[in-house]
Amino acid sequence: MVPAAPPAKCEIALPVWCIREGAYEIVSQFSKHNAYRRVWIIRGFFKPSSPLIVREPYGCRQGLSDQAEALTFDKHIKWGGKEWNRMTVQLKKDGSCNIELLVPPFSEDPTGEAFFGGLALVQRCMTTSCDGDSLGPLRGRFEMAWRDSRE
Amino acid sequence: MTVTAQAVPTSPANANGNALNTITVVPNTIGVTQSGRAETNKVGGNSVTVGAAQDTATTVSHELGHTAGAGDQYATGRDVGGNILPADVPGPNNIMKDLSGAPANSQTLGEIIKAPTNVNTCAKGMSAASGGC
Repeated sequence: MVPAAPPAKCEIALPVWCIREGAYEIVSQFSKHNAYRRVWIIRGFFKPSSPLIVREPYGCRQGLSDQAEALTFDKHIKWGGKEWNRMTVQLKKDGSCNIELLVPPFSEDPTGEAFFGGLALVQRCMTTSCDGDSLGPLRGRFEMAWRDSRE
Repeated sequence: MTVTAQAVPTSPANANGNALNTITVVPNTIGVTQSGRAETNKVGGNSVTVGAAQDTATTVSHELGHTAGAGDQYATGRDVGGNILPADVPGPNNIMKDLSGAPANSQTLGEIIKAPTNVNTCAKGMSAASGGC
């Protein structure tokens, strides 16, 4: 065997998903919106001004992930006084844990700190010890739409 | 993963006969590398493979540590001598131990300074390990 990267570990593990270690800053807020339990703000090392925002529905606090389906991509989503691109990902087939991932538009973050780096830090939990995949592979489903969000 | 690169004219000829370092970015390392994770061909090696789907800048930094001559510091990783580590090296987070983004520790810096691949003879110039010629 040759030298390899350490296995990815969860910095914060929730029942259905986790935030992998590697973020510069993780902030958890109670949501003011009835549909979400918490809002997570994940900032990277290189461009903290371009965070990944994760809006977590109540259904993500029980069960395990049995699905990782890219649902929708929406532009011009208002949150925190700014406009964001929103990617919705279904982590449970029953639809109770459709997390929303907000990233800055391409024009604000052309290097994709949040889009590329942020999504790689979000992992779904397929077991109680949170074995599972990063959501990074889903970027391909959203990338063209994200690159078009220049206006 | 987006990589911004600067093109530098080079060739094996002006690398003093040494092989050039290469970083191969594959869509996903699962099913491609031996471990299924990002890898370097050996400690002090010149060939890194990383996955666009799941790897981050921190992962690439870890692998570049291997190319520079540093060993792993996590359980089941390879130390600088190529031996499997039975447990994590004690101490705080660091780039060769985990993917937290913490910087290199003194062990890593020492391994890089003393790496055979980084030590030239005095005939070639400076020897870092001996403090110079």
